Amino acid sequence: MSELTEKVLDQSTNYGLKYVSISRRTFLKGALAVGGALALAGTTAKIKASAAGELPPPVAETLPSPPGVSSVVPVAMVTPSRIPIDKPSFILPKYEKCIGCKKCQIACAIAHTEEVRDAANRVIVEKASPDMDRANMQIHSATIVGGRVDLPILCMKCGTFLPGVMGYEPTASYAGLLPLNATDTAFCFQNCPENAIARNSKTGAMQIDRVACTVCGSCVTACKELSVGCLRMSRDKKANGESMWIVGMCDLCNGNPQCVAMCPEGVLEVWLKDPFSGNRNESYNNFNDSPLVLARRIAAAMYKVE
Amino acid sequence: MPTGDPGYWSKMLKVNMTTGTWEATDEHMQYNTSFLHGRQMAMRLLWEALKDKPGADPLGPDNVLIIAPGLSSGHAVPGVSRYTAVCKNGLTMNKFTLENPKRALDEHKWGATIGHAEGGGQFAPMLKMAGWDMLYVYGKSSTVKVLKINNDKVELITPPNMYYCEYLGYHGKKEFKNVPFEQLTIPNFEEWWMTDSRFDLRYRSIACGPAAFKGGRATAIISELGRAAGRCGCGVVMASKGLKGVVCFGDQVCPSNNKADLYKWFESTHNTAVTSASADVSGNRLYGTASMLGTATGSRTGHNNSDQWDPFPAGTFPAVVTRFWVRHSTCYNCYVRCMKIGVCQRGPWKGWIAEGPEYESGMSQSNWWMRDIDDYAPLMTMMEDYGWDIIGIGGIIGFVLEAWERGFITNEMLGLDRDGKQLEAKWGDPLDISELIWNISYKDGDLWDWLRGGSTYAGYRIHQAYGTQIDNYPFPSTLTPPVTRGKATKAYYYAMDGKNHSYAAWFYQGSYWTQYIACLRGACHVEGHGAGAVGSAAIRDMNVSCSFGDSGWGGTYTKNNFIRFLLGREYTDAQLGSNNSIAASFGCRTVTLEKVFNLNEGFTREDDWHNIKAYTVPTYCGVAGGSNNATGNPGYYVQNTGAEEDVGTAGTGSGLESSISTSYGGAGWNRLTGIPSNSILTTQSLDSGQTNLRPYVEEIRRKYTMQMAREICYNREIWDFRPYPSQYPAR
Repeated sequence: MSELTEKVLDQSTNYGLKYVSISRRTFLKGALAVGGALALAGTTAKIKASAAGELPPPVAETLPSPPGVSSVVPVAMVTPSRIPIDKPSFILPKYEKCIGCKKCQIACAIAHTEEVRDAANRVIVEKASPDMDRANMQIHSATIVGGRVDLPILCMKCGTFLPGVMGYEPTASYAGLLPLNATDTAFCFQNCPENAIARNSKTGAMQIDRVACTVCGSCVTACKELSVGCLRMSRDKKANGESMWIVGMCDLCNGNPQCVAMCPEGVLEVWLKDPFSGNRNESYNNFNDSPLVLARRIAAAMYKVE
Repeated sequence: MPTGDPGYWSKMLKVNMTTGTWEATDEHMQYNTSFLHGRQMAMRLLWEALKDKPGADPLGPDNVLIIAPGLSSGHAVPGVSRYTAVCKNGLTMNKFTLENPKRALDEHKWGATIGHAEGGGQFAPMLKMAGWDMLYVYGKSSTVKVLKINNDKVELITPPNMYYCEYLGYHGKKEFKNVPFEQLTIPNFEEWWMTDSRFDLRYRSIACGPAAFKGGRATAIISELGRAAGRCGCGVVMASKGLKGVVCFGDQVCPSNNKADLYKWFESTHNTAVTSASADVSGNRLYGTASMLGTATGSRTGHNNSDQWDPFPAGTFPAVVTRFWVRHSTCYNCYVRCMKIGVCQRGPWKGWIAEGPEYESGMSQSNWWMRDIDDYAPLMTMMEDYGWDIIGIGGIIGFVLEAWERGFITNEMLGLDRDGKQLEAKWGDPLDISELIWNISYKDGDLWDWLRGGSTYAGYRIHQAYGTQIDNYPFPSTLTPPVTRGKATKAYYYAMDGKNHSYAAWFYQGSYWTQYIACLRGACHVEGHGAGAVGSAAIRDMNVSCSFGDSGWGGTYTKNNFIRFLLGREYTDAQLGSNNSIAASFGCRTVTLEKVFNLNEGFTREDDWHNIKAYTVPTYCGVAGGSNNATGNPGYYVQNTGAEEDVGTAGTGSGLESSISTSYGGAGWNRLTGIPSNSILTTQSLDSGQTNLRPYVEEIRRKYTMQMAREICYNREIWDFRPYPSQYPAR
């Protein structure tokens, strides 16, 4: 086992960056959002169950509207990032608040490679225009001209899985992860020919066994074509200081996501993931969209135009 | 990996537009001990390119355009995502220069000063992360090209003609056109590469607009974030090379001596800047640079021919922005959020998404007598879309409005608008002004060609063609010095005067010579307030940092420490800190080099003169008293008390002449001619080694001194350019 793999497997690794707690304002805001969620969705019992460590039942009726639309109803509680993630979770961007500063990218790159490398970060802030199709003569509403948006693209931890069923013989190539569960519907997992991807039992994040991974790019293609397109070939730092090609995949910083901590605008929020909620495409309209389509939807909601 | 000094890639991308080829060189590294980085090193490269070609056409193949990120661009340091565009000035040269028989030393046909302009966005760190210290463009392409940079892969792309969308001014009607690529507006250019398969959304770009290809002298280079490098006509220089834009992506780790400290800097600034409760930081974060317009100490402006202008009456600023703004955007790793985007809720562009205002808005909006942000923000967006700097075209349009009011520009000269109606130029009319912006950007015709050359040039040509004068002023641009108080309005004034839209710190600070330098070099955003501040300005020069963005630096992460972190050079705090410091020596060396460049191009003391009307015309001021008006210099500062509806007291301008001499002397130059002395060349290490200015200075001295002295001292005709020649008789 290589030194680098050992580093990946060591879940206590702090990646060399001191954890920075979020501001009190953000914390309070999160608390308010929890209150709002409870009031709106009426899921007090579910949240309490979740907080007590029990898994919430499927809650299809409380699935939110697309992010960026004002009528978003939180599907679960907002987790302040100062609390280490210990349940399957994902990071949901509030796209309309993003200012495109890329501090999340920098924090992510430093956390994973101890360097500021644009190819090493797992979150990518893309700047898109809802009016791009003008180049193809597709006429859009005049009122949306100029409505650029910044889109933080990151792993939504898609797919359903069975986190509570732990009786399987572990087939993953290393410990600490859930067994390679055939019922996990994450696109990257399903399309990996080497069985090199597994889900972290604590955070629900997908992780790659870098020994087994041949960097064939199947997961990257699947994510790009079927989901949000957050995966990409990435250059990480080897132990000897040289760079190597890997597939960059958000591991939620083993429970302390640095992008969330360093976001100055409170764009990135940690949400509990409902493991049974089915494919993301059914849950969130934004999951399966290209950035261009996403840009139009976000801009339309933000600027309140058609 | 870099092979040279820590902090440098030791690679410069050199693109020959004539042949369409490029190469990676390290020739800039030979200067990195005397001219650290950023503007300093770029200026040294400019001198190397043009030192033996005085009078070369700024829009010809000899001129070079250097896009230089700062030393710490690409690192986790906030506030350094600017680049500096250095070139021979495309704005100071025009036909006025050529045709002016009285201009001293005009033997150089296309003499022009140095030019540098800084622009924000996210291009600079991207260029650095692509593995290039700077981009150097020379030559001239016969067809329009786009430069694509993907790390070490460089490609000159010949783009196709494009369909794009244009908006008709009066009714917002939309029209699709198939036009040459260079006529694409800035957003349409960005949409082209965003949708082209050769790029993706991680790229970032800079581009010049259609107005630059039309010959607009005050045009800018605009980044993907709508940030403009507005001074010195760098947009028209870029267009003259056939370069529509540069699209860049890089994903390499920038070299440094001490990455760990830089990352601590990142964390520290996050804590201090984002979570700090200090008023300045929170004000910047909340309102961006527009906070200058609306706070109690802001630079509200008025017009000398109008009544009070006050876009954000005291106490209403938050309400205005809350009503208008929808979202914010920012440069790389910056917290200021200076790009403000809103939705117009009334007026002719109701429902439009537009940007604004920013602090520069006070320099055009106010002088057009605009009052409503819903009217002005779309105009600001249009100006940027067509490739203009807001201040530059703001000055031109301000000139048109006043000249039309006084009958100096007639309806016949203006012609028809795009709807076939008679175009007029009424103060504060958003539709008229939008048509003016479009016409100056696109329309053929004498008047529009002249206006594209700047207000001074237009005034001169109109005067020639029509023989009209007002109040015996030979140049109508001098009719509108919108002087009120504060540096912002001074900047606007100099835009009109063709002085590179520089603001002269001179006028509101107390130290003559540094203030003069700031004015001479067009140093907007690179302020030098006093001798010690030259060091700070030098740091900012080489770092190309933003004074708003770097305001969050604090604690042990000061402006000086990055030299240690990046370069590993062991300067002490005292050396880097204040007067006579190492940092100041870098700055003063660069300023002297720039002065020699200008002298070599034939510019003299006469060209350092300012329009006297800036100091003699009474002024109106805003409601709230600002801090800037309290430090007026007796004799030539337009004073006011800051009271509501107060009309300032005119100065006499009597101190201007002597202050030029004081400035020259303070810089170690000849007090009469401005030619650097041999001793200052030695002190600044400019007379030996790789940068030996001595032969050039001696040639300038031998060739020009007698002529300059004769004209300055005995030939009163040279004062005819001044509005009040009778005040300055021959001595």
